[in-house]
Amino acid sequence: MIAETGHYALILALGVAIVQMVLPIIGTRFNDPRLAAVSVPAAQLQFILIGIAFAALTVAYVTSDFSVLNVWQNSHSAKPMIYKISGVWGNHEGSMVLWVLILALFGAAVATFGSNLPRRLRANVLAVQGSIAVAFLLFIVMTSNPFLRVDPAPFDGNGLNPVLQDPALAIHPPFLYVGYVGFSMAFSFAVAALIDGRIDAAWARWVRPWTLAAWMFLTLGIALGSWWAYYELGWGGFWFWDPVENASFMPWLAGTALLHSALVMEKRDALKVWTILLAIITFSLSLMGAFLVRSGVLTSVHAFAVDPARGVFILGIMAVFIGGSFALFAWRAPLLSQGGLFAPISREGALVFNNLLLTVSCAAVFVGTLYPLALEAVTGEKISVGAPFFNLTFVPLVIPLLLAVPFGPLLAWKRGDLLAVAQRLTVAAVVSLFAIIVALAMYQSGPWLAPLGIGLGFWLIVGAATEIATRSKLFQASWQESWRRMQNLPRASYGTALAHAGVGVMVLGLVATTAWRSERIEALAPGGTVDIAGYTLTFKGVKEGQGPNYKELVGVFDVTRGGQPVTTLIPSKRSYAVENSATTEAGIYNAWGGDLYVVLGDPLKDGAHTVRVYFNPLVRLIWLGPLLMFIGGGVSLTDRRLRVGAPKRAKQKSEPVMAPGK
Amino acid sequence: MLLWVILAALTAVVLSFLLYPLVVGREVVNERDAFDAAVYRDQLDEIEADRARGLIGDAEAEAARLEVARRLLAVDEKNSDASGEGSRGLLPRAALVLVVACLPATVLGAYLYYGSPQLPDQPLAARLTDPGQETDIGVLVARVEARLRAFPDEGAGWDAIAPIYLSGRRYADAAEAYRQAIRLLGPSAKRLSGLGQALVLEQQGLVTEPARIALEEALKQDETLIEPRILLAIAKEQEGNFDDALADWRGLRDARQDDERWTSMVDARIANAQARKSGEAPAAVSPLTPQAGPSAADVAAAQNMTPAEREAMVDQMVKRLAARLETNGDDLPGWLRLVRAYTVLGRSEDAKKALAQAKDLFAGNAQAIKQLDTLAADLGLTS
Repeated sequence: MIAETGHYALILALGVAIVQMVLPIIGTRFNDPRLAAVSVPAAQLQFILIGIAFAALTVAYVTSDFSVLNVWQNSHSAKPMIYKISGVWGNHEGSMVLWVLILALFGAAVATFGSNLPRRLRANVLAVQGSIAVAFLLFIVMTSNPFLRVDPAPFDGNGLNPVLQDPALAIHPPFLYVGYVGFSMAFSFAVAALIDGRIDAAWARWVRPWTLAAWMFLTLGIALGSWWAYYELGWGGFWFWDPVENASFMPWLAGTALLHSALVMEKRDALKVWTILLAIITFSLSLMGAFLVRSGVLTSVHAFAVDPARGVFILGIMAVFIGGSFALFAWRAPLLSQGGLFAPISREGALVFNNLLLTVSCAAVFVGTLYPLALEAVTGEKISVGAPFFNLTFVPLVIPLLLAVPFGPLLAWKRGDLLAVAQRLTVAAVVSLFAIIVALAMYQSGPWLAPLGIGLGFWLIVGAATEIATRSKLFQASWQESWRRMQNLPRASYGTALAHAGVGVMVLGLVATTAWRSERIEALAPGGTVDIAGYTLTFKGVKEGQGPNYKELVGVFDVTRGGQPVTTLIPSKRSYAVENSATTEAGIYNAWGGDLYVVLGDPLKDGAHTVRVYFNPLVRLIWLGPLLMFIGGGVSLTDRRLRVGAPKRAKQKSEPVMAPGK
Repeated sequence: MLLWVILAALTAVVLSFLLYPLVVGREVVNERDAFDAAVYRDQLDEIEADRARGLIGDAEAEAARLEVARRLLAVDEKNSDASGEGSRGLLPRAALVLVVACLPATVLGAYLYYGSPQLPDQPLAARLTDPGQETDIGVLVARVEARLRAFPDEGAGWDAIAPIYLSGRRYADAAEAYRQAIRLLGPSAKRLSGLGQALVLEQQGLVTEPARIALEEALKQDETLIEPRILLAIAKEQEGNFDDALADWRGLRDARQDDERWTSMVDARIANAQARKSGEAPAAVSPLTPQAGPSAADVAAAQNMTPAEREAMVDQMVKRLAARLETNGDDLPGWLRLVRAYTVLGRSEDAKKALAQAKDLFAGNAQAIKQLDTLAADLGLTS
């Protein structure tokens, strides 16, 4: 009954979404406020209904109800509880339900907290949001229904891919989805503006908090995914330029550009058409990511062709939304009023530079991701485009962007003074120069570009701090005065500084790990030792262990540094009987200086094992940086200026509309 | 029924909240300019605040203020231009009727197409503790098996499933289940007897050494048990110990004198044993155990021969089998039969040799090696 209620709620949500898509548009078209007002309860109800469906599916997973096909295919009674729960979105059908749940969450949030939006805009935005929901709910119900039943019920399930049984994996898709789906909000705002034919600085102000929230979660989601790959896949890499990763990275690049262009639009009433276009592009890239990951096209173009129902459906969704919105854009954008012109040396000029480089680098990733697929589809030849391609295209584009980052916040709007800004950044320049010299002195054997990368990281961090220091007149005014000014600085300034410093921190981690990582692969008999980066590892032997649903072979390594015991690492190989597969669990010792990363390889004769040991210097910073960006976004989001008030008379009127929802 | 009540209530609640604005709507739709103006006023306030804090210079602030003020003015102009627009009463009512009429019907239709309203939830815990619902023996067995996988030390589970395996002809599983039950709950007469039967049936009627020990133990604990006595009597016949076998059969006959079917059956066995003891052709025997292995015709033929003839025939058969396996060794059941036959004939050296040969041949095949090892253990060839 719970499962069936969930199924019905899902289909009812589809019905409500259709109403949400149709009535408000008619309402705004014919100036009928009643029809337009339906958008609010529709969005809220849709969230509640999909919530019921999601909860029902979760209950089926938690109670191991194998009469539900999806549970039987993806769960097992012997699985630990946390992975029974994460199993809900660890498979195609369940993850799509999570997708629409988050979509509905954003819609409901706009409906509930959007009293500062003009009714007309809100109705249109929710209608567009409703149309996205219709497409994906139809997709779920028709091709990926998680509530199909099996009768008679099998006795036990088929398990879950053991590689996916991991805490970071359990939480990273929800974050990624909040990011992906959050950009649908920017898309809906853009299409609503096109439908209405009206766009102005106020629009940018309304759309920014949603974009910022989506960007924050996408940042954290990507970082968590990379962290998971780092410790689970067992070879110490953290980013593989894998199509699945690129699928999340492209919307991030476009979304970052959108975030900055919306700023120009709000302040200067310029870049309007471009911002609308970016909003459409960003969400289109999110949709494309969903298509790449969900259609099976990545495993092989041919696998996609064999079972094309889902892929074709998503392709259809993409065609309708991307094609439709671009057509709308082509038709309506010329009607939009253009913004003012501006000087190249100004805050807005710097932001245009940022947008240019971000979109071009996004295009580079796009080509690198899709070219192999296109080639395989046309010629049948399988090629893989890996790190070398991206190092040659993406990296050179990003370096000038990063060099320019500290200039942006320091430049004034309209007419900036580059020389004055350069003077203010002297400290940052000196610090990064010093860092370069120190790095050169420490690692005289190269690689020669690495110290420059370290300098870049410090340039970003100190540059971000410079903005706060300048604006609070630190070292110029008295301490009390500076302190007072610091307290008065808008939170958005701190958010910007934190996020930009986060980029610097991440650059430090990336450069250090890539350039100075050390690696040993040895055959170790019990008692054997390996020396790496000042640590000495002693192999004590292997023992067998038993987990809740796996057996494992655990290697024991005593780690010492200068004769002092540091820790004991226990990398293991797990074999999962139900799924008949194995995973490698690395033994990792985390320290600020870097991670010691040990992987137990295949057994050799006489109790010896192949052992791979890595030392990844400063690797922790790679994920600390995005965390700082996330926090920076959060700090910005709490800024008063992003919580725009509604005009007085509308505030009073918003109450009766909400009454039924309470 | 409850499901339909829930679904109907859900639909009703959703419809009433969804369509509420259509019933009690408000006038005035074009407030966009008011909202725009609110944003611009906020921006003006911010510029003033920034200037007061000294974050931006006076000239900068003045320029920004002018720009925002220009936007604000533009909005005010548009605002005065905007003419009031009225609501059309017909549209909301039409929408209301259309949605109320179509939405529930469409949703219900789609649900009936994709859903399975007749199926109840079947959470695992409930299925394990509430056997009343399940009638399929396979599911019941699967249930206990799953339970035993999770809790392999639950003797009661093994105890319950062992007789089911036995009657379901899964003899190897039955033997294993009885062994587990004995390990966990201790040897009872019933379990030992069951183990003995399972072992005998697994070997297609041959009473092996482990089986004999189990049966004797069972009998020691409970003399009234019939099955161990029958099988032990057969064991004695197989060993050629017809005197003891006859004594056993007679004892068995007396145990149930008033059951005519029983006495006639045992009489037949007695006659058979006597005939074989004296080398005469025995009368037809009703089987006490399910027959497998050599065909009924072979057995009948063998029973009509003198011991010497029979031995010669068996020898001949074994030789043929050995010769066939010599040329074509890829026949695991053949090897198993050969090893068993040598053992029965008392040629344990040959049996061991055949076993070693077979193990060499199937060295890469873990499954086969396991079967060979099990057989060797059962026949007592390993020591």
